[in-house]
Amino acid sequence: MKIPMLIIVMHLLIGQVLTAENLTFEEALKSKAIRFDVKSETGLRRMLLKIKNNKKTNIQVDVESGRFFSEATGLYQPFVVAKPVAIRLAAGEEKEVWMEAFCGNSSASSPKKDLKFKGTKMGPQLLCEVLQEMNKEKIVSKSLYQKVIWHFTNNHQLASLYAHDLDSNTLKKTIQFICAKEKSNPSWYAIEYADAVSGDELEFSGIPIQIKGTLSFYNPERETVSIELVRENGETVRVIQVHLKQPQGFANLPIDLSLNKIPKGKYQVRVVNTEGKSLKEWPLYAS
Amino acid sequence: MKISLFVMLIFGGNVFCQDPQLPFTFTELDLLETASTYTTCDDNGKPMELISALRIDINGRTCLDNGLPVFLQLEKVKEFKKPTWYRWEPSAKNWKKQEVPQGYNSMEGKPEFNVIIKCPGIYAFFEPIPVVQYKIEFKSPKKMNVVKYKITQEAPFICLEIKPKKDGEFPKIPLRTLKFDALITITYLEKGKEKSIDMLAGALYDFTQSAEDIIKTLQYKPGKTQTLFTSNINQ
Repeated sequence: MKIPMLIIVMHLLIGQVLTAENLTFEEALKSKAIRFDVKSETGLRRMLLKIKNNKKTNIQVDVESGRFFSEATGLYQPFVVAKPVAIRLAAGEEKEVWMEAFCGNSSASSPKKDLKFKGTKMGPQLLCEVLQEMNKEKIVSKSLYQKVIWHFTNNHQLASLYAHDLDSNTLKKTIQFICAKEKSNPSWYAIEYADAVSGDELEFSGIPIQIKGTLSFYNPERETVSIELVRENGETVRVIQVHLKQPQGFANLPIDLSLNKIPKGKYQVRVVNTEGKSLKEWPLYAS
Repeated sequence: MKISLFVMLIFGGNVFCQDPQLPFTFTELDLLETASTYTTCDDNGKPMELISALRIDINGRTCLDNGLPVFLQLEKVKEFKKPTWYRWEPSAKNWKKQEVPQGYNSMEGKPEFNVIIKCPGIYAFFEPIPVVQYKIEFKSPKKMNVVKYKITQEAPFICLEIKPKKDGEFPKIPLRTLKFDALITITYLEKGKEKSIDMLAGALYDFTQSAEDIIKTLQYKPGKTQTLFTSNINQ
């Protein structure tokens, strides 16, 4: 008789531990089920979330991707959660969790150590959807996460979405997903920026250094063509490449243009034949 | 032939960037003019076929920081076997081989060669001519004090100067044959002054002879019937 009773009691206790109310971070905040504190650190892990369960029951709090945590002065970039985390808290329990988060305002400084982030809100719906898609695709490129976030928070051009640590197909797929959501066309080029002077990868230098892309056009006859960078007023700034005796037909010419000594601004890239006639033009925004 | 050469000399090549603010000006050079002006021999005197030539002038600086990438894409795999990149050395007056162009397949799968130009000068892609037995020989007509022969030929673009050796004989030329429309310029001394005459190689063929004889001997028709050069045409 005693043994079955013990089993029942243990079953109830385990059940109580295992069952937990599932709440999003937003719901948990609204119902005052939690208190939180976010602190920035230096090093590889930057955002430390301290979270406390105010309730007398177990809860599971889902911290959503696309959630912003901001500090009061606005001088520093807010953290943007890239990957969602489910935090299980027993009644009254407090936990510290490292979050995979990036920065959400390229024109501000990156968070310094021990800065407190009290404010929180969800980011733009499109950003959340894109981050969810990237997580679904199991993308690990930190560089791409950061650039995608800046694309939405600071209107960085689509051309800025590139990553050295990601295969081209996955990158293309991600950009196509963003374009489909934004109803825009993928950029024909990718623009690379200099590293920030601080060396902090969460800081944006704003200095474009390299353009890479492929020019596709039809060459009506075999002749020499040059690829030129042209200002809005039609003035040629630089000859990027020369193709001697370019064969007649469709051509795909990859270009790799250093923006050294080229002022920021709107340009065109043109393919020009020997008579000075432009065979095709592409817009380029070096900024 | 002379008229077309004259027209090309007047109009020259195609200037791509005339904006004086640009650090450099790039001009595609006319092949016949380039071949005729600079000849098409390497620094060892071996004849080459000229594929493409350009001149780069740099404004206000010695050389470019980044260089100008120049590409040569071939239409067919066997169009040229080994395009080689040369720079004209004005002091040595010959073409000097530069670094071997980086060869790879273009996005269309066609062979492509890539070089970077950093400093001003005249550059050209040449195709080495396969080594053959020395077939063509010039023999100066008697009483004609020939200083040099110059052959300028289109498609393939080849230009050679043949000067006499120490013994006064002219060296044989490592070409299989000359085209009928190859321009031959003979420079000779007359009363101490240099003079030159131009003629097409075809004009030197004596068609009154049998085919076999044409192969063996070519006659200088405008003057005396003295052997000017011999060529094994059909090889």
